[in-house]
Amino acid sequence: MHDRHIKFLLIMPAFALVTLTILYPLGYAVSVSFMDWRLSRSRAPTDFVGLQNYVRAFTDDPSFWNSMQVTIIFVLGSVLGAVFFALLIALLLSRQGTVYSITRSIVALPFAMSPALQGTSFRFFLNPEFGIFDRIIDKLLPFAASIDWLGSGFWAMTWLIITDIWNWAPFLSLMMIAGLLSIPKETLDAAAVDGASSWKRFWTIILPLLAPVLAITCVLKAIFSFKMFEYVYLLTGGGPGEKTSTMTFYAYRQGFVAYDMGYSSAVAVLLAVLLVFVSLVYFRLIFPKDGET
Amino acid sequence: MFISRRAIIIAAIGASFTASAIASSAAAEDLPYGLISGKPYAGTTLTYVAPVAGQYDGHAARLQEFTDLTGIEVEFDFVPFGNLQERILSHKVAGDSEPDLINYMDSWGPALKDMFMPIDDMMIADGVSMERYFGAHQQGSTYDGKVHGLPLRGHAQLLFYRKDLMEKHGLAVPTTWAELVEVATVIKEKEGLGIASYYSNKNGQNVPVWMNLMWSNGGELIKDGEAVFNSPEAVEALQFYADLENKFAVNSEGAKSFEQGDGSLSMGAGNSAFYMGWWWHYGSRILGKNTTLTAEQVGFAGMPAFGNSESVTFAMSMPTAINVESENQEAAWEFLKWVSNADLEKANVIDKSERNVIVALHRENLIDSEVNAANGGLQAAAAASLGNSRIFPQLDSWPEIMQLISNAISDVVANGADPKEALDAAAIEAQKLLDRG
Repeated sequence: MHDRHIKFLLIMPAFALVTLTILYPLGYAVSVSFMDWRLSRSRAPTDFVGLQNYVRAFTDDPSFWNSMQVTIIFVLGSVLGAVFFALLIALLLSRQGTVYSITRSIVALPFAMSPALQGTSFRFFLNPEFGIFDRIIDKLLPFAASIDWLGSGFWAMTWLIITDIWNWAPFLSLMMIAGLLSIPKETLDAAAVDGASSWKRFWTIILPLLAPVLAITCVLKAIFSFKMFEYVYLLTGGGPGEKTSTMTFYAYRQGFVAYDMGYSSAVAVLLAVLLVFVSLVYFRLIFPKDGET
Repeated sequence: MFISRRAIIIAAIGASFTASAIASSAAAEDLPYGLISGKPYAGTTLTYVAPVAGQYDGHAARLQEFTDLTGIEVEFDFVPFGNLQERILSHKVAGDSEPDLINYMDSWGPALKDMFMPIDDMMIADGVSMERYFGAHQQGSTYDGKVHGLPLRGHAQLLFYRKDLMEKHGLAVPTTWAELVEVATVIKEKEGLGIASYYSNKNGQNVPVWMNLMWSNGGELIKDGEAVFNSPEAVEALQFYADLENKFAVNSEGAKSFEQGDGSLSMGAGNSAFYMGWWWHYGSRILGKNTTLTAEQVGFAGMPAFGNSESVTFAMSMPTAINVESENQEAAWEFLKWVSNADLEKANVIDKSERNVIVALHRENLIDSEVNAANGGLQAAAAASLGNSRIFPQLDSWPEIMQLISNAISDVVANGADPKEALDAAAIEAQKLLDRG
């Protein structure tokens, strides 16, 4: 066989797997989004309705707009928060040595835990009667003792973001530690010799050199934040009201509570379109065009 | 008269067969619950999807009786209730012939009914009557005039209260919501314990409590195809329900984010003095191995009435139906007859050795003295509640409409939305769903 053809042969298994597990479900979801498929009426999609499900989302469904708004708030909060804390952790742990190495491994543990377990645990932690977080906060901040942490839109969203940060910040910090360790030590030493303070070295050397890693981290985290489902499902149930009903959660509810698979698919496809844009930015960052740095 | 030896032997064999047939016939008549004699389905293995609950555990534990009678084996597939709806939907989409039997919540029925086999003819043939259940439970299994399942689990809503604290402060059991606020105010002031209300819209469990208030106040959910749950009566009911938290301040801490289970756990842990909800919480959450209360400390009564009206309570049931695609429908019907029989239900509720099951649906069991003696009279209270109870509207769009109402209730209580505006907005969206048909 010609060498030229071997490469196609070699990627065939991977291509088949991706087609089966990603492209087919995606294509099917897109096709269903143009159909009327209410599970309460039929086991399979029935009529082709064109863009009707999309028109409904944009013109006749306030809950869809709400879910977009909630998603954007969550993405902004979780990305900024996770990246900020990841940077903080990275700055503290970006040193060579056994102790730092062990600490880095321990810090990464939350990311290894199941999101379902985390969501359920945080709901228990925040229970106003026996939750450990609630108890600790009551002791440390007595003025906040009467707050029902999942009982208002603001606090429910705040804890949703905190839970997500708790999960992601350690992992993102590992990416940043790799970036920090790649900064030439000589440069930092030279700046120190020239009398630059730690703060000055951070702003003028570390941060600019870390910028590419930060950008990639932000975009990667944004992709995962857009897709986040487990914490909403387990921690807040989209409430109170619809204050934490993200697009993924809303799509789920339309499918499995309202039985409207066609509309649910349309919402999911709209989210996928958003994600494609974010992914394009991500790939642009990690694979810059020739001449770009 | 000469009778040959051969003739005697033939006669003896014939007599033996006749006797055997007579015995068999007698046995057939003796088989309980309308089960078919002769074990025609012996060797069949049925699959049965049921939620995780002590009651179904009890059925599984007593399954040997059914297998001995029919030769049919049954494999229980227990699914946590929170995942049950999705599980059933996945079977519906796939058009699976298994499971043969499915236990589901009545409010899902209108959307799922085409995957369940109507059983009216078989019921008539075997003398199984829906009259053995209360009206709300009959309705929960019946769609378009056809019975699609037999209720195996069902709940009445009751008011649970700390009897010891009420007696300590000389308070009478409230029969109206206004009285409830009065006694709860006293208990909260004296003991620091409130009502374990629950307003979370996570599973829509805040809707039934509001419905009790709303129905009692003369409101309706849907009338002649119109969403009317934003009527003045319904708005007043929601305002009052929210006022328990925001105005009267008689609730326990955390009510805004509580689900129903949080509420009953709060009472079981001794942190609340009142709880309104499904009666099954009494057996495993208010009382039970992990709670601090004893049966002597907890009283129960029917749900309060709103104003001077009579109390109208919400009831639900969980019927078991035969999968319309099942290849073992006759055997599945045999199981359904057995598992729904009153004797099994009674045995399950009386026997406290392994599990504390309190759920009964047969009218005769709910008022049975032995059943009530074993459960402190809980079933009699439930029977009184079920006598004037209603169920969710039987619409396939109801789950989504319920979610809209649930969101509105949560929004009013937790986020300070105006009750009328919230219900108006929900009614507009609900009407769109109703108009879609």
